[in-house]
Amino acid sequence: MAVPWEGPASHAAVTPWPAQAVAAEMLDGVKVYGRGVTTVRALDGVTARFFAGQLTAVMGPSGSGKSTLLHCLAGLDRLTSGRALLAGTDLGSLDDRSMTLLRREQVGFIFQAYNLVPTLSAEENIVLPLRLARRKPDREWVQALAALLGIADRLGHRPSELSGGQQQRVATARALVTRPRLVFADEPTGNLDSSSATRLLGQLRAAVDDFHQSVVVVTHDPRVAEYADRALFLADGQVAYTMNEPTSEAVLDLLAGLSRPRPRHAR
Amino acid sequence: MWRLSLKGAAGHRLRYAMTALAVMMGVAFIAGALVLTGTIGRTFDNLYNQVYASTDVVVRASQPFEAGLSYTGKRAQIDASVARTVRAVPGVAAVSSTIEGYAQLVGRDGKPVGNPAAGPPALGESWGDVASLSPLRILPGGHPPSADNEVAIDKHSATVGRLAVGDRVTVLTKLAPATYTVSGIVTWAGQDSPLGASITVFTPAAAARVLGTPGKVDQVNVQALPGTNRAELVQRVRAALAAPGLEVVTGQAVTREGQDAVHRALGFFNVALLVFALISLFVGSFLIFNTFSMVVAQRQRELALLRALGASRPQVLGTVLGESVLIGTVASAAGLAAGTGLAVGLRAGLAALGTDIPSNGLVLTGTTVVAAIGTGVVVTVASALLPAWRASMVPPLAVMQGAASEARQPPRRRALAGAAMTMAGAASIGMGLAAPVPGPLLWAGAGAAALFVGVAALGPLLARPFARVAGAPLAHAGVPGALARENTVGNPARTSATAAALMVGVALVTSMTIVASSTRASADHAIASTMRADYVVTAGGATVNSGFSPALASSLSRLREVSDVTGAKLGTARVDGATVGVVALSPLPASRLVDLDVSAGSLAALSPTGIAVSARAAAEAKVGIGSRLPVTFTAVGTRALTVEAIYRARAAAGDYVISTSAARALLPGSLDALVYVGLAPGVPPAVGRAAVERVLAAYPNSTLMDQAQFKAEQSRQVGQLLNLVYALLALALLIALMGIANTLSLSVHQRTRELGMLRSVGMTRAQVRSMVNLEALLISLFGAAEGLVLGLALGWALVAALASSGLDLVSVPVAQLLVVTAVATLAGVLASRRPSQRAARLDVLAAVAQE
Repeated sequence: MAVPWEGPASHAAVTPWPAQAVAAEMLDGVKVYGRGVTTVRALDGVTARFFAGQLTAVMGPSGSGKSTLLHCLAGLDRLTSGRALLAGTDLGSLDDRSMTLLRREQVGFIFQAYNLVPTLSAEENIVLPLRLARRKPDREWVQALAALLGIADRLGHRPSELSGGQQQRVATARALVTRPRLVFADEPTGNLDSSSATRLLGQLRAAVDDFHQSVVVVTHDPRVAEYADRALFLADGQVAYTMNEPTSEAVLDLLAGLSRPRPRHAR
Repeated sequence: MWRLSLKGAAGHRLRYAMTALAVMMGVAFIAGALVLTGTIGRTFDNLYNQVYASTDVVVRASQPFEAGLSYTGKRAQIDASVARTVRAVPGVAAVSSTIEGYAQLVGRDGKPVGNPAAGPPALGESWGDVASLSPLRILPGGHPPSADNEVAIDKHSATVGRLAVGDRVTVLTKLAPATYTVSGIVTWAGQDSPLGASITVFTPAAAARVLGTPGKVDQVNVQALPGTNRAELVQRVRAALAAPGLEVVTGQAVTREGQDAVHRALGFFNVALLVFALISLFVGSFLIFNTFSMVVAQRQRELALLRALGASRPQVLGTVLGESVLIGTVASAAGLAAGTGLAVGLRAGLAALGTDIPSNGLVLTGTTVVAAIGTGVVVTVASALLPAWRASMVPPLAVMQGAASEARQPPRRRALAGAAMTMAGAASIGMGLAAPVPGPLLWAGAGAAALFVGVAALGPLLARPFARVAGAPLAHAGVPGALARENTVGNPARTSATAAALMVGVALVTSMTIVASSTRASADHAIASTMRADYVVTAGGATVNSGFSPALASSLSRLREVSDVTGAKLGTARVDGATVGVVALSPLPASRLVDLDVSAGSLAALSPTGIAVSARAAAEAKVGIGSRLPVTFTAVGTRALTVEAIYRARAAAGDYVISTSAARALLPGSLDALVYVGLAPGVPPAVGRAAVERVLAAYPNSTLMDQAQFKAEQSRQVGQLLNLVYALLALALLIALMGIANTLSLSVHQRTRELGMLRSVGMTRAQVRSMVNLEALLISLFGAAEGLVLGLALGWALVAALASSGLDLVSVPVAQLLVVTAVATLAGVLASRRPSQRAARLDVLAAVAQE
């Protein structure tokens, strides 16, 4: 299969990892916010693996800790205790600068609120991570990404001139442009209409299948499960369940079960 | 709604902190000036009341016009015999004659006591035996001067000059320097000295000789018998004297005159300080406007919610205005307190300079409180008016939308209004400077304010292309530079409003620098083109109320090494209803020492009844050679002088020159402010200078300068004045920099999400910091550039307007202005230190945290 990034050697393509290679890992992760009576244990001993070349969905009801898991795994936040490893690097050992460089080189982000720089054009937004790293953008690669995401004709426009779906696709292109080992998406379909959401999920799937990218999607949208290789369910800051080859029906059933108030204080 | 204002102001107190600080500083300046002048005024009022407490009637010479507080405009003296006549009038209890004049004490260190060049005057007075009619009291251990070689001196001078009873002391007067024995130390109205002035007290006979004219006194003070009607006594004294040229008034009238004169002088001082205070507040108003604009934009959703919940448009307007009232009041009250403290500091500063204001407690009048707080509140509310109006226009529907950013493209209306305001401002400045309108300074000042606001309104149109061009190099220097440029270009309204404050500051500094530089260039040119003398002797900075006895010039003229000497006396007179300056020179030597560029007649042959007139004044008064020009002097009244020369070089001698011999009668008792010296042919400068310096040794207040030194001295004086103006403008510049820091802080706050996202995709802290710094650089550069251009225009206009006062050369000090611009820009970048650090420390999660 011809993959677009296997072009000039200078672009150091990501070597597809052996099946079941671990892209990111959390070992007994605990994250505590606040203190005293307002203490919240957002993560309460999470151990989880995210495999390379897979699309993993992290699901769970609001407040289950799934966003916190993503933040700690992606180097945006630090665990209170436990370890988070990204591409084999223990994030706890990094200072702010190394963490920033690691994010820049190894991680791509897609947010619910798109988060584009309003003063920059779509193309400038896409190549921003490369320019921050003072790397010269490969025009062919940018064009290929834009074509894949269907925004090739919108590259000169500013975010305010784009629809929500288009903005999210620009953000997706920005997440993929550095050929990161891992792409984290936090509720990427949260602000999108149904057809835009479907389209975006297809494109994330394509990134995994065609570009051998590893993608972690945090969501409570059951449709995402259809596109995932694996689903991880969180409840009360703990991993409640994992499911391989999930379907939305199975997910819906499971979520219904997780959302039901559990008798925590059994007699 | 008031409750909401309270909560709003409290909730955004950090964002409003800078606003409050700016208002506070401006108000403190106002309050400080008012409290200080109020205190000085009250002090003088009390002193005058005390000095004339027992003086019921005063007899003195009438004067044709009021010439102000200077010796050159002194009243004529009256016959000493008047005192005897007055004593005989029924109802008179006691009389005391006084003589006052110039007497400079020389301290133990051989230097003049006090700071005669810039400080309070050096007074000589006659001792009066009637204690109730004199403010002078001898301290124990001494006695009043009883012989003509004895003097009493004030306690302050005794301390400063390290002089004690029994010491020999040199006193400089209008006669040759002489040595006296200190017979006693005096206090003046209970004070060590009258506000730092030095007093030398002579016997009446000695005073008449060294301060005035033998047989003459300045005024006769009269104390009435108890129960005498003052008005009737005035009538009786008037009848008894029945001589022309005499004036009989009550002591109260004299007290009021003195108090009024002090209040007038303080009024000028006050206006000068208040102008700078208002400039600071004006600069602050840009900061206030900007803060409210940004806070309102950030709170659009909240305001829309209020509207959706049923708040009316006026209620929303009221809420925001209420916040401004609250901030204005709190900040102004704090400013009033700070200003009172400032007045204490200023008083200490003045004391250090030699003007000691007795501490009768600070005077905080109701007017001061109302003026200071009122100005602060009005400025705050007026600056918040437009943002508050915009807030009230937020539609309730905006609840549904995210916070909209500020308007990106300036509406055409704004551009038109800005252009109209700019032109109106320029026209008003033109009127003030060039046209004969009442209150020209008000026209010019209001015009300048309008000009600044107009240019600030046009700013967004200019900011975009400017940032694009000036930021071009940044765009190639990596993402931080490119983003900084985009932020500046993308928010032209914010960029220009932030830069506006700096613009005002830089424009004022630039124009003042140009005026100063032109003054220097003009003075240099005037000296170079007119001064033919080898040396000039000066008495330091001030030329009024200090100078030399004419004995100095005669001593110098007796030197073999010297061929020509002339003193220059400065006098005040009235020509054609206008008060003018008159210079007195010795015609023959002056014609060789000072080249006045005589176009008709001859300066060398100027007679004691003649006058030389500048070509401009001659044209104005329509006089030519041989015409009679009526000139009124305070001492002798009106004299018709014959125009005997017409000259073109006004810068050297003003519009009117009379001869020294004429001055003996017309400007009695006046000193030589300057002495010009020309060496005899063939005398080497070193030899000549040494000879002159030997004579000057007896005059410790003299400084000998050659042409280059004289130029440098003039230049130094201009520089001193410029530094004072810079210092007074410093507050305005500080507030401008606070404005930049505040806008960047608010902008960083506003862009929390964007900054967090940039961090999440790999922007390092250093990159964030440099992005904010570069944005500050572009904004400051824009403000400085605008200010430079406006300042050049204003400076040129000012110099053009001052051309008639001798500013005939326009000089633009390029290097100095570049330094001003660079310093302002760098200061702007420094101001961004805190905001940029805050931006760099920002939590990355802030971007990704969902609402």
